[in-house]
Amino acid sequence: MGNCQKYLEKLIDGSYEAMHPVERKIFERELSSDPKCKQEFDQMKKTLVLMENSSVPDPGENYWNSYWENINPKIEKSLKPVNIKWQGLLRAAAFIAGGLFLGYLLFSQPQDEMASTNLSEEDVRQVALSNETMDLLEDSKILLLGIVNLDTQTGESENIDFSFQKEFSGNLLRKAADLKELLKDSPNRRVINLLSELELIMMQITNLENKFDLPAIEVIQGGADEQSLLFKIDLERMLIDAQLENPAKNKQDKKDKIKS
Amino acid sequence: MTDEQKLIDRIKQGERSAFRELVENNKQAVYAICFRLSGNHTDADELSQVVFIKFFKSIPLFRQEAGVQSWLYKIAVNSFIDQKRKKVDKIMHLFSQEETDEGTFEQTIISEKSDPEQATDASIIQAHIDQAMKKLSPKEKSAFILKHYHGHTIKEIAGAINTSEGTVKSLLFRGVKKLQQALSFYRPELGLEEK
Repeated sequence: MGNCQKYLEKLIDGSYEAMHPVERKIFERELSSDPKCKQEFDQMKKTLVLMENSSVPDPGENYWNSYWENINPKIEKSLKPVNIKWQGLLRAAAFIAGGLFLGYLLFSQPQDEMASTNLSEEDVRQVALSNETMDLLEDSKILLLGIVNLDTQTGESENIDFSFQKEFSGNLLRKAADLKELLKDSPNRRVINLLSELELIMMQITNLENKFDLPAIEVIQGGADEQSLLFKIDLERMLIDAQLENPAKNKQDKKDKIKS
Repeated sequence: MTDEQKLIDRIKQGERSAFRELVENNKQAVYAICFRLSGNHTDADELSQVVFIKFFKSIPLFRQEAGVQSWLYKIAVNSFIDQKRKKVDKIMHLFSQEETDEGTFEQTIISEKSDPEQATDASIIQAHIDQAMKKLSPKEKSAFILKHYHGHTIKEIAGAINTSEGTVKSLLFRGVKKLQQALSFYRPELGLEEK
């Protein structure tokens, strides 16, 4: 802005308009002592006055009356990010994969090992579910960390392509839905609630634009922060880890607790 | 709790009629900023709908202290900047169109110089302002509109377009300079000397 910066800045940031009359008089007197700056200041001021002539045309009563009717179907549509048929197919595939995984766990372990750990079929199922939960939480944490740590201030993140994150998030979203279904009878409501919170965030990530979608990213960052999602993920993983270390002992502890 | 906060709470509880109320309350303000940003009705209509849809999606996480209108404006300018970034090909096409328009624009200027009375016509001034606004980058335009037509402070603009206050001042300065140059044919009004 050159030598006249201190004057022009007052015009640009609106502080000239907000000046007290006395303050303004002093300012203008000082400005008048520098003809070059005064000319530059006046030109800029007149440009701004001219710009005040700009108005927005009224699109008319019909437009306003049908505004909601035009926007409402788009909102409805935006609420359905995943095709239902695909969701059903993917859910079925996940169930089959889950069954295969359980079968592998049940039949691949030597019988004597099973006997030594004293695990029932239900215990094995729980271990499998816990492992799946651990995997999902781990993947969710990695994805969330990437989004939460994005620097939205410097503009350095503006060239990132989010298509991979969106796809990854979509997969996690489906896994979370399947896992919730498998855990629906579980007494651990906390993990189910956490999965629901993660589903919401994943849905938002899945709906991101491929290019830098700043408002949406800020909403996701704010949401993850407000709900302390990363902390909850860590806490849940620690608890599951502890359970996985000795499921038989945990089961006995629970029984003892109930008895006492 | 203000009426706005009550409205947001109702929307968060899934009350669709409350969201309709919010749209009805803010549609004109949102349309106005979208029109100023995009410069025509079709794009303003599309952009304003995008703003409300994005707002609706973000409502579970909306922080009340921000104020609904500020948040809507923030979504509007960022969606506009984002759209401009995405449509590089289209922009290139528009640039070539602008070059053609510029010829007509300058011809109009010349004809107006010979007829000063015509230059006072509000619609012509409006057309010149619209053309001048096209010279601004999306960020310069967003900063200028928020400052001069919506009364935002430098700090608020910095928050809305996620940049520093210093950058906002630079954007505004560059923007006003471009406008000044584009509108320089209004020499007597702008206090510019004839070359």
